[in-house]
Amino acid sequence: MQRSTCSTLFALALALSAGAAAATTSPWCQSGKPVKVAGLNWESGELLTELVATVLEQGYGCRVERVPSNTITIENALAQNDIQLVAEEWVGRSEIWNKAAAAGKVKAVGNVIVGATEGWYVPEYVVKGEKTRKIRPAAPQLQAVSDLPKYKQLFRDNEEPDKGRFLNCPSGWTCEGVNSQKLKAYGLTDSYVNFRPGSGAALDAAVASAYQRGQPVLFYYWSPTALMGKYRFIQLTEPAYNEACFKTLTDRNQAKPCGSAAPEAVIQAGVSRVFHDADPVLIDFLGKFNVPLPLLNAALAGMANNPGSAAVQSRRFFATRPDIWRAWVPDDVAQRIAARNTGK
Amino acid sequence: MSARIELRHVSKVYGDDPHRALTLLAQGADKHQVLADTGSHVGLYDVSLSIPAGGIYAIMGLSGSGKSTLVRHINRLIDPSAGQVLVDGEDVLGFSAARLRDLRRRRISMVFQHFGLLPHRTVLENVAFGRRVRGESRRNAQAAAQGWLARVGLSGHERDYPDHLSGGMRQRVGLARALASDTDILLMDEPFSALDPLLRDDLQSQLLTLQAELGKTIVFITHDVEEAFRLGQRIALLRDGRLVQEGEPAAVRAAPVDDYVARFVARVSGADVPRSTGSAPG
Amino acid sequence: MDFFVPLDLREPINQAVDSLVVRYGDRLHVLNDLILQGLLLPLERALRGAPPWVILLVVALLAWRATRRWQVALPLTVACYLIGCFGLWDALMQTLALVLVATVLAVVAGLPLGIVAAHSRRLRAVVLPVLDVMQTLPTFVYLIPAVMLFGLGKVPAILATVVYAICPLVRLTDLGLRQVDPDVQEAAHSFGTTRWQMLLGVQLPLAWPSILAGVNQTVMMALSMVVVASMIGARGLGEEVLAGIQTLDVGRGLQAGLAIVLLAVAIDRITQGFGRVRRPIRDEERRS
Repeated sequence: MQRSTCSTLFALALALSAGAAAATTSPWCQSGKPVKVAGLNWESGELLTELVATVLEQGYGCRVERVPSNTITIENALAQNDIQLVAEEWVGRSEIWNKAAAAGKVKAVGNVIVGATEGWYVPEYVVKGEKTRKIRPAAPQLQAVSDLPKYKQLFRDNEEPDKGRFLNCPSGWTCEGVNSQKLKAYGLTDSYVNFRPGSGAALDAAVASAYQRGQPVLFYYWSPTALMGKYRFIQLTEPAYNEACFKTLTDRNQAKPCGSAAPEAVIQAGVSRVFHDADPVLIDFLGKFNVPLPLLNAALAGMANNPGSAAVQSRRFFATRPDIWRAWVPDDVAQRIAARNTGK
Repeated sequence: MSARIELRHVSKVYGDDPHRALTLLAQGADKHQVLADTGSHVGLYDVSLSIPAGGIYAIMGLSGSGKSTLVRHINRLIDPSAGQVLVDGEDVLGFSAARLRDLRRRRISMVFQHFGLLPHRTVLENVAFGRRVRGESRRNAQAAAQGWLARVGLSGHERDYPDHLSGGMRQRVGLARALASDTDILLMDEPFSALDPLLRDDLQSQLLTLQAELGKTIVFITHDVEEAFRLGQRIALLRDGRLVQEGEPAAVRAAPVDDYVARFVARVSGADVPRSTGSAPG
Repeated sequence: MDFFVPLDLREPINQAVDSLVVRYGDRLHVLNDLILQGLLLPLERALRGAPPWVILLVVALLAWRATRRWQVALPLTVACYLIGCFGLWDALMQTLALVLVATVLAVVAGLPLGIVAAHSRRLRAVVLPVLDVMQTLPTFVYLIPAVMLFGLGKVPAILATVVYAICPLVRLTDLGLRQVDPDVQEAAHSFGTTRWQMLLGVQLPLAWPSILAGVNQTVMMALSMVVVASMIGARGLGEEVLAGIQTLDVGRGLQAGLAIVLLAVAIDRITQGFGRVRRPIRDEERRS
C-alpha cells in the first residue's frame, strides 16, 4: 500500500521534472505505467536489454520492469501486451512471432544487430587441425551438413554409442524446433541424437569444454556471442535459403520438411502493438537503436570472463561510447543519460 | 597351587593426568580428594589379588567400588593405568592384538549384567557367537551351542530372538554363550543383579550345579553379600577402588578387618549361608 | 576507503576449472564412459527392454515384501501403471535407471564415509561440514563445472545427484553406528571379535534401520534432482517437466511432475518398509 503510493509519487515527481524541462517525454512512461521488458537469458540479449533499459530509465525517466523468461513465453506475452518490449528479436524465426505479427499484435522496429549469423558449427581444428595444440584434422573433408552421416562416429554420443550427438538448443528456444526439423530434413535422425542440453549454460559449457580439450563437437550456435569471439568455429554449409522450405522448418508439425539455411538474420526490437501505437517517442528511439557487431562481440567477451556482469558492461558502454549512443536519442535525453554516466 | 589369575598393584584412573592422580593417591589421598584436585576419577587403586584355579572367586562391593572395572582388567576390556595383570603367569598387558583376541576367544569368556545379547540374532546364533568369531563352521558352532542351550534348560528356544525371552531366560542364554566357548576362565559381572530374587536363587543353584561338573575358574562380581557368601570359595571386598579384605568366607566373617566389613558381613549369619553344594577343587 | 575489502574469487576459480578441464577432462570423460557403459546403459536397456508387466510385477512384489500389506502394494503398482498410461513409461524407466545408479553410487561412497565418521571424531569433524556445504550449495553451481569435466548428459547429472544426495546417508549411517548399544558391543568385544567382525556382525546390522532411513532420504533427494539434472541434458521424466515448462505446455509439465511424485511415493513406501522390518524388536529392547 505504502509502497505503491510512494512509487506513484515518485513517478509523478519524475513526470513533473521531465515536464519542467519541457523536453522529449514518453507518453507511456508519463502515464505512470511501467515498461515491462523481456529479461532475455542469453549473453547478447542480456546486454542489449540492459542498454535499452538504461536509456529508458535514465533518458526518459521510465519505470522499467525486467521479466525473465524464455523466448516462447516472451513472444506469447508480447502478443498479449503482458510485456511491451523485447530488445533482441530474431524476426520471423518462430511460429508464435509470425502469427502474432500477421495478426498485427506485435511489431518489429529498427535494426538492433546487423550481420548476425547462426547455423551448425564444428571447431575449426576438426577440419583443419591446430598446430599449437598438435591437433590433427579429424575430418578434413567435412564441409556441409550432407557430409555428417559419414562422421557420426567422430561425434559419437556415449549414451547411444552407435549414433553421433548433435547439440541442439535447449527446449523452449525457437531454434530448438528449427534444428529438430533440420535433422529430419537432412536425413540425420537415424545417425544423430537430437541432444537438447537443457539450458544455455549447459550448451556453452559443453562446447567450451570440448574446445579446451581439442575434442570434436557438433553444435548449433550463433553470433553475436562470447564463444564466437573467443574460439574459432567453422560453419557447415546448408542448402541455400529457400522461403518455402524454411517455413517447413519453423513449423514443428511438418512431417517432411525440406532443408534450407536460415535467412539472413533480421534482428530487431520487438514491441507489442499497444505499446507501439501508444508511444511514438520510444519507438523513434528503438528505430535508431543499434550496436555494431564488433563492439558487441568485444563486450560479450568481457562478460564471459565476468559472468552476470551485463550491467557492468552496460555502464562501461555508456561511459565510454557516447559516439554511438548519442545517435539513438534527442539531445536533451542524451544530456540526462550523460549526466548519470560521467565521472565515477 | 599357583594363581590362575593375578593382579599386581593394579590402579585405574579416568582422566587426563593419571600420573598426577596416582601420585596423590600414593601420598594418601582418597578418591574424593583426587577428584576435587585433578578432576580424575579413581576406578581402582593398588589392588593386588591372586585368584586360584578352579572354584568361584567372588568380588563384592557397593556400586562405585570398582568391582566391574576390576573384572574387565582380566580380559583387558579395560587397560590399567598402572600395575600388572597375569593370566596363567603371562602378563596380558604385553599381548599383541592377535594374542589378546586369542585370549578372549579361547581362554576367557564373560557374562554381563545387561546380558549383551545380539538382538538381531536368534538365541542359537547368540550362543554360537563365540565359536563363530574364532572361525568355526556354522554347523559345528551351532551343534555345540545346541548342547549348551540344553544344559541351561533352554531347548526349544533356539529360533527365538532374545527380545522375546524373559530376563532370566536371557541371562541363561548369556551363560550358555560364555560356556559354549569352552574357556577355562569365566568372568561374570553381576550376572544376576538385574533379576528378581526368586529367579536369582534359581540361577545361583544352576550355576553351582554346572560348576560342580565343569570346575572352571569363575570370577563372580556382585554387590549382594549373600550371593557372594553363597557362591564364593574365596571372597574379596572392594571399597572406593581399594581392596579391603580378601579370604575364605568363613575367615572374613570371623575376622572382619574393619567396621565397614563387619557391617557388611553382619547381614549374613553363618547358619543361613548354605555352603556351595558343588565342592570345587580349590 | 570501502568498508568491504575487495575480494574476487571468480578469476582463480575460473582458471582452476579451466585447467582441470584441460588437464583431466579427457580422463574424466573416460570415467564418464565407464559409468555409462558399465552401469547405467545396461540397467537402462534392461529396464526399457523388459515388458512393462514384468516391471509392474516386480514393483508389486517388492512393495509387498517391504510392507506385507496388499492395501499398500496394490495402489503403488497401480500408480506405476498410471505413469505408463500417461505415455511416460519410457521416460519413467530412464529416470528410474538414473535414480538407481545415483543411489547405488551414493551408498558405495556414503556408507564407508559414514563408518569412518562414526569411528573417528576427528574425521567426522571434517566430513560432516563438507557434506553440509555440498548439500546447501545451489545445485547449478556445480552442475555446470560437472558438464565441463564430464560432458553433457546423464553421468554428470548422476554425479551431481550423488554430491547432493549423499549427505543424509552419511549422517544417518554415522548416527546409527554411534547409537549401537555399547553393552552389546562390549559383549561382542569380550569374545575376541576383530574390527571387521564387530562392524559386519554387530554394528552394521544394529544400525541397519538408521542406515535404511538414510538410503530412503537419499533416494528421495535423488528424485528431486531429476528435474534439475535435465537442465544438463539428462533425459527422462525431468526432461518432460523441463520441456513442458519451457514450451508453456503446462499440462505436459504437470503430468510429468505428477509421474515423478507417483514414483517418489512408490520408492518411499518400499524403502521405508524395508527399514521398518526390524524396528519392533528394537522398541521392545528399549522397554526391557
